[in-house]
Amino acid sequence: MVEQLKMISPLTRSNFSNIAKSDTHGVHVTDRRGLALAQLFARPGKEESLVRRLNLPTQPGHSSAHNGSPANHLALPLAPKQWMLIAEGGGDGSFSRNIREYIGEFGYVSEQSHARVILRVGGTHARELLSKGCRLDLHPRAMGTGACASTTIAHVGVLLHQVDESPTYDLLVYSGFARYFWEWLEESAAEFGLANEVEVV
Amino acid sequence: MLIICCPICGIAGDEEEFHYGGEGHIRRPASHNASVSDEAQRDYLYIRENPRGLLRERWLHQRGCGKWFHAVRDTVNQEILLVYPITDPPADLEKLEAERAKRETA
Repeated sequence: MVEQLKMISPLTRSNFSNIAKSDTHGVHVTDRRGLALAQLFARPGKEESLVRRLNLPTQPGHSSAHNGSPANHLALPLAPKQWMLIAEGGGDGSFSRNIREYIGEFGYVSEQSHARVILRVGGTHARELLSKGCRLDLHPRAMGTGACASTTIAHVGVLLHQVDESPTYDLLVYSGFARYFWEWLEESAAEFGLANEVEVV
Repeated sequence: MLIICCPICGIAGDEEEFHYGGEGHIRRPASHNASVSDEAQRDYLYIRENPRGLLRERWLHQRGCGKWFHAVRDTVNQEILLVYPITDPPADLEKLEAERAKRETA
């Protein structure tokens, strides 16, 4: 019998869920669990067909949402001919399987749902907090809603995506570095006051 | 610390995100060809321009899009005058120098 693998956040065994809650906090961190992630590569010469098929963003540094078949998803450009797709539901591998079937010969899919932890960082001091470890210009004049970039924060490779203007960011962190990253985040956010929660999609 | 703008993903990142690839546009002589002289092979391996001024060089956007590109850097003041794709022919340094002089007098 095949045992079903359960998705366990690497933050489960950290102190993520037991930090003291304060009423006034400048930073809010949510561990978004259960999302489906798939890395997508275009087959040589098939980039245009793939982009049309899945409504992918072609401008680097800007995400776009796709509503329709095979599932609603958000696409973040990683590099030329490479995207990261995020979807609600299907984190058991079914999302990437569906994408793989849907695009056929246009590209390749690599299942990543367990490979990244998605931390949503928001609050009045979110930008200030990330600026402590991120060398990109996060100022509104350089980055707005929908902006995304692969970069390093606190020496860890992170895919950063700005969700809204308040500002709120989604950080896709390699699972193996998630505990270290969380510890860095917790210490760096101490001066602003930190609140956190787990969201299971 | 250098701020480098990757021509592929358009992101201005810190030097730490990039990896230096040495002088650009160095062509490998056909080393399997016995007619290539030892001098040509030596020049390919060891001889570099090392100028005081503009240098065309290669950079890798290692922690970003993972692609190689070319940049023209001034070795005196570390100014990066141009970034361009890895497949492009060598940038015209005299033209860049002239353009910069024009900007500075303006």
